[in-house]
Amino acid sequence: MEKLLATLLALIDDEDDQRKFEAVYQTYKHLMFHVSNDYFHTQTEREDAVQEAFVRIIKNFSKIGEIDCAQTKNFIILVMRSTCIDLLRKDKEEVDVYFEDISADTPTSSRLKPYVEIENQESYERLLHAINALPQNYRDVFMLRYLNELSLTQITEITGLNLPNIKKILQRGRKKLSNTLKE
Amino acid sequence: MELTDELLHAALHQVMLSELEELPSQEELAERYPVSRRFDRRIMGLIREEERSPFTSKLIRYSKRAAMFFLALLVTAFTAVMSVQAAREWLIGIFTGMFNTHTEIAINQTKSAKDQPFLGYLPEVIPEGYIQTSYTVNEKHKMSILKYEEEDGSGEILIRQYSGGRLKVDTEGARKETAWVWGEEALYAEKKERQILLWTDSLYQFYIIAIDGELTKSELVEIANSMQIQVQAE
Repeated sequence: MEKLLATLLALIDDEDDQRKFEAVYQTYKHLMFHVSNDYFHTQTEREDAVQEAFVRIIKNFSKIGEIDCAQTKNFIILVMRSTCIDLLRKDKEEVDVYFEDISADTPTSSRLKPYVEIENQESYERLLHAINALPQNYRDVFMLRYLNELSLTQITEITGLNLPNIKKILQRGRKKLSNTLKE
Repeated sequence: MELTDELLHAALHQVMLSELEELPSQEELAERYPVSRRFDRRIMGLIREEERSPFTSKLIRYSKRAAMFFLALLVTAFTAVMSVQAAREWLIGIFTGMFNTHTEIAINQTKSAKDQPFLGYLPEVIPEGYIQTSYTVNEKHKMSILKYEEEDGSGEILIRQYSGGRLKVDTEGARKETAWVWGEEALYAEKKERQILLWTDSLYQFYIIAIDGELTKSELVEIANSMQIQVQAE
């Protein structure tokens, strides 16, 4: 067993990366199956989805800092959920049509500061409620963009959505949330 | 209060924490979703492949492909000798399903239909006062998007064309009616100030979304019926 392990390790370019990959997998594998359980009914489908999600996680490994933290846990969930939806979409060749399918251009986001002062608690509560009321795919894209600070291209790789769709989601979602604050 | 990126970040962070709190504990998850050692080995293999040198990865990949090729050749040769070749029929079907919250229109295409070049359609008839603002064709995904805006900015029309697959529209709370485009049944729906018309032929699916409130169903149907092949995508 030790000889086998040594042979395997010899193939690795970066041992630290491999250990980190393994640690992420061991920490979150059950959670990944938990998420995939909402979308797939057979163990084979769930395993395929988890594997595909893990590939996407590996490709965006630079976005993972500490392994056992809320941000990483949330990132794993977002990638897992997006992968499941993407696999289902590809399988059915399905196009979702929304009544709100016409977009408007909005400015891109600015640098984030670590602390923000809430001027109006009531408006902030409305904002939280509005975020929770967004469709799941909107919320996921927003979190990948604003919490995990992924580029639009990285979001397309994780979600399988094309760039115009990602932009539309961000524009329309932001408009909805802005309108909530103005009420 | 303005929606700044900082405010959005803080709110999303709070929502994220709330969602994570609702998840089962690690112990519960491990009990509910046991993972087989076979799958563990599969993922470990994936990790090792990600870490291999490109040459080693290629060598292993091509060896596997060569083995699969020879196996497929053997099976094909055996099948050809033992069975009679079946005739292949061209099958295109249209399926429309009505559900409580969603309505679907789907067409099943043969592979050869999907391989055809994308032919863009444009309408000959557009309501007075509208001007074309953009037309985008994506040959890779075999789709197009056409936009019109009313000159005074009060109305918009979006026309999309797709090749194959299924269109699903959220019709919950919408008023639905049947319409007729190119002699075939189409779906018309209204929701608040927006209108949608979906239809299909043997190769493409189309939908028009109008934000105006003043366009009639007849006008949308007229637009749809006037669509002609105008552009061959390069």
